[in-house]
Amino acid sequence: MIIVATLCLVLASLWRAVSVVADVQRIRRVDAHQRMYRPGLGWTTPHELELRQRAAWAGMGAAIGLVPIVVISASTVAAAAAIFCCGGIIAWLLYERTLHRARYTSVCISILASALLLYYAARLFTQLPAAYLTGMFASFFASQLYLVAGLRKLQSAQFMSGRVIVDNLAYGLYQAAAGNREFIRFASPPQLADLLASKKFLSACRLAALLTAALELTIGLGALGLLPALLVFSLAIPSHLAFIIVSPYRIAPFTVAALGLIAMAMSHPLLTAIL
Amino acid sequence: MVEFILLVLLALFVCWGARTSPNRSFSWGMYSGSTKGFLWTEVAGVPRVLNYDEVRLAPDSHFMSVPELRRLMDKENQKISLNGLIIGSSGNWLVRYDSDTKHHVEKSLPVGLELDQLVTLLRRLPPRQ
Repeated sequence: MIIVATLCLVLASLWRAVSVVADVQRIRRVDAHQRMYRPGLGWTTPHELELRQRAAWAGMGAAIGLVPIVVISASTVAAAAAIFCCGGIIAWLLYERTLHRARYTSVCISILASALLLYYAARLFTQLPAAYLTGMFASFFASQLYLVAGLRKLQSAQFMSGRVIVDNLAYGLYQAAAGNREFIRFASPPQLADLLASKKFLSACRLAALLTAALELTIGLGALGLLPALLVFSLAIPSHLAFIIVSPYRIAPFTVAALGLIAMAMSHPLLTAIL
Repeated sequence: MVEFILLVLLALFVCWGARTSPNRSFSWGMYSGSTKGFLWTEVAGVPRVLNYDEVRLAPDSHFMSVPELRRLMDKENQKISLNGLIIGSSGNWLVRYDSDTKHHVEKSLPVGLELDQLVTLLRRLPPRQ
């Protein structure tokens, strides 16, 4: 599970860092003054973009540094290098949040990096059962992540009406029609109009919203150890793949990090010690 | 004993996460709502979807509200004329910014009409642009 989680951390961090660098380079290509607007954050500045890009390069370096550790994880040097790389990823994301309001993706990647850092530090510096400690840590945070996600959706009338799913799907297809490659173009604007005018489609989205909230709460309880690991994975993997349809390019690192966290959580869930 | 303490802490953490603002820097509670901006321009009466580059929106901008659109369309962006349909948790709005007259209109839409407006717009768009 540690190797799976490490691979997930590498992939999620690399994807996130590459997307930051790609965004900065695109802004520079489009606007000579490097001024583009980010809702909630205002206009970009050349200085800030430079800092974001440098930090992302550092994050990318730390993620790449974890790759050989997957192969030679048993050695002391590998454990020390893993601590350094996980620390680098956490430091990058903590710095990134001062320049760009952190998405939940950054929080999830940071938790996964912290869990792995804890594992390698416990293995290197203590006699404590590292896998057990790390599993409990991941179980605690994975449960919080999914239970909060499910509860917030239940509290949101907009989400439970299915309209968040409708609006996000419509927005993705609308952007795809304008040539935005971040979204999958699986329907043309007239086809999207037919979908939005269909009561069956709106009802299906309402059902999907209800299922999403229920699934997240179930996975949250599963990550605590109340459900078998196989069942938790069989719920988590399809639901995360479904979320990817909404915005594949931006959601992918969150998906990978969340699945890595669940993999660690299910190795030693919090409640197994009590039950 | 440690596990029981962790469970109590988890319960408190979940309660806090369910109530905290998702807009905080490094928030422990993810978004459960959305507000989207469907922006377009009209050339000879034919609508065309505006892409991010044309309106100088950063590539990772996935939400839009009327106050954000106002800031986007300040003096930095006065050369662009656009129409927009804002849909979601910040209310539903039909907006128009005219670069020639510097005139802008923001009209609130009654709840339930926003999807009809979007359907009408989508039916006017060419299948490929």
